[in-house]
Amino acid sequence: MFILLQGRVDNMQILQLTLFQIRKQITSLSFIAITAVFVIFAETQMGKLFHYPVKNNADIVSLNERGGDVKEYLYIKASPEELKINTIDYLNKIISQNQMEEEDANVFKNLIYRMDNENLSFDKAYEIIAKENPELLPWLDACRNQFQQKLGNVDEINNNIKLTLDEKGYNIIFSQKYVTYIQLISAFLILPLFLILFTNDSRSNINEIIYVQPIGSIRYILCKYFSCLIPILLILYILGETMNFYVAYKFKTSGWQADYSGFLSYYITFIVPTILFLSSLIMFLLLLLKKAIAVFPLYILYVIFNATQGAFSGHSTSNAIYKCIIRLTSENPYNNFIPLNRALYIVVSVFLIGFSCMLYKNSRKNSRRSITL
Amino acid sequence: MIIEIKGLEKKFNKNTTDLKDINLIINNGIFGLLGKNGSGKTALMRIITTLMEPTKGSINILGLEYNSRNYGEIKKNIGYLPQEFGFYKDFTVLEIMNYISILANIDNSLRHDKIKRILENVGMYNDRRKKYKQLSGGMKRRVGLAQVMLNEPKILIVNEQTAGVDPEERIKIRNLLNEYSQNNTVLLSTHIVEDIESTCNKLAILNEGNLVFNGGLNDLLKLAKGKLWECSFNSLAEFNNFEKTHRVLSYKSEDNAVVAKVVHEECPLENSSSIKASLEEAYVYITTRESR
Repeated sequence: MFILLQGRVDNMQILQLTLFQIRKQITSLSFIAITAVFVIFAETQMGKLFHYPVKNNADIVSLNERGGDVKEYLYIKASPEELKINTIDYLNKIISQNQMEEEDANVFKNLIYRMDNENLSFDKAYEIIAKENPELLPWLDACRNQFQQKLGNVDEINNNIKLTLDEKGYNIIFSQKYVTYIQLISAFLILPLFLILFTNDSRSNINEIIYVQPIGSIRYILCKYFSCLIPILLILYILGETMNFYVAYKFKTSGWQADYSGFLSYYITFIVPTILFLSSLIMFLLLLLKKAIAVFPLYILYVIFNATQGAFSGHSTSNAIYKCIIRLTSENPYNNFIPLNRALYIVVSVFLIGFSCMLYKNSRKNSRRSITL
Repeated sequence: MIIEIKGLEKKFNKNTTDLKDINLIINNGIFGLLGKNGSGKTALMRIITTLMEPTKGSINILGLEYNSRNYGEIKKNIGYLPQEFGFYKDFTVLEIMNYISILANIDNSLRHDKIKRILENVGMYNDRRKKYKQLSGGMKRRVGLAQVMLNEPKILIVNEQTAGVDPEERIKIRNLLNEYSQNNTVLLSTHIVEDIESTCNKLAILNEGNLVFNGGLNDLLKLAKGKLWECSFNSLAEFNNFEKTHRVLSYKSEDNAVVAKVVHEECPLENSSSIKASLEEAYVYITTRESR
């Protein structure tokens, strides 16, 4: 009975301490700054979803300015007449600005004359040049590439989006993009947070005060660790879920299909294990090396290796078992890769947390062995 | 008997003074631990607080044998305020108290009243919303005392808390310690003799890791009785010559004559007269006696 009661009191202490530290953590300047970076990053990378489905020209202009994979929705095939007119305009402009050899300009002047008077199509004109002056074909290739597509109108762009999404809504694509980008950015951003967290005791000269309190070393370090981890995970979940909800809301109110419920499974499968592993790795390295400055290059190299393996080996493998970050923007290597990878990193995280607790317990008494910058 | 230390030794690597064969009994009230910087006071206190383990010897604290099994129980009964008390700079005084009360596992229902009472006691209640970084040196020490008293430990170990604070703050700190020692034990470490004189009945003096004195203030004064002399010299040259072979505590020169206070086992000069030693002079006598 006494043991049960004592256990309850101890659990209350853990809960109170963790909540207290979470409250301090989320009001700290470093945490607010890093949250702001997360929000800005999410907006710049995924802000285009605020314009889906397209409702007016302002949406089109905004999407066109953002570029990237959004172009596949924005552009539609131009008509043969539009291709022809734009090609003639372009060639006339180049000739008038003397950007072409005189001999070549004469060939194109003649071609333009024939296109106008004989009503030649672009393809017919292309055939003539291929036969008579094949060395001038790059000019027409450039025109075809440039003018065979045009910016669609609202209906045309929405039609493109519908065809690409296969009537499924944008939420799955959003979830995949979100977890991929957030894994990458958070790998970098959590480093300063955890470095500040674990060096704070020695910077504030508080190690001895903490040690003489009747709280176990393991309990203390775990409370500290989770008080930083939980807010990060919460912020990333709230941010992702808000964006996911907004996407679903916009699609639904436009009369489109939207599956709102999928985000949580992506979040739990990809973001939670990755951040758990990376944060436990930081904690372990810090407690092992005792110097934040020594952890920094090791950790950054590991994250760069995860993000761009090509920087080290010359060739790049997007997803591999030795990488904790899974990119959903590329193909997975094999069917069971994701569960295997996730299970591996969760198990390794548990071991790293366990080793960290042991290291902290052994070093806690000795202030000379405390973690410093 | 609150703390009993028998044959305690602590061997360090180079640069730190070893503790050698320390035997002490500490009871309720304020017990002073006096010694120069580097004499081993902090090491002894860190051992008592379980921050450091002795190489040899035994310690009994409140009837508990000093071993790792009892560390938890010992820590519950000891409050330790280190020489350099620091805290997270962005914590307010109230947050510091709340944080420590969680670490000390103080009952949630008692916490609020306890914190209020202690902050009022140390005169920090009106400044409870101030951040730690905004506090003056003296205020920081009072907050240090408040947080260490929060758990009402039976033994309060305070290391050099009066050094570097203004006289008014020093008096406040002394009074707080005096009040706390009415029902508890306070182990006060300092190199300021005046602190010991105004607060302690018993004290121990450490010198280069050795316990050179353990007893009451009067015992210390008795030990120095007949060992302090006032000597007169007709010229500064005569005094300078004398100083080379004797331990001079202080001197005054008037015209060509010099009057000096000298520590010596016997009468050093024919014209010397024995004078009553102050506590500070007795302390100097004890520490220099051992080293000469």
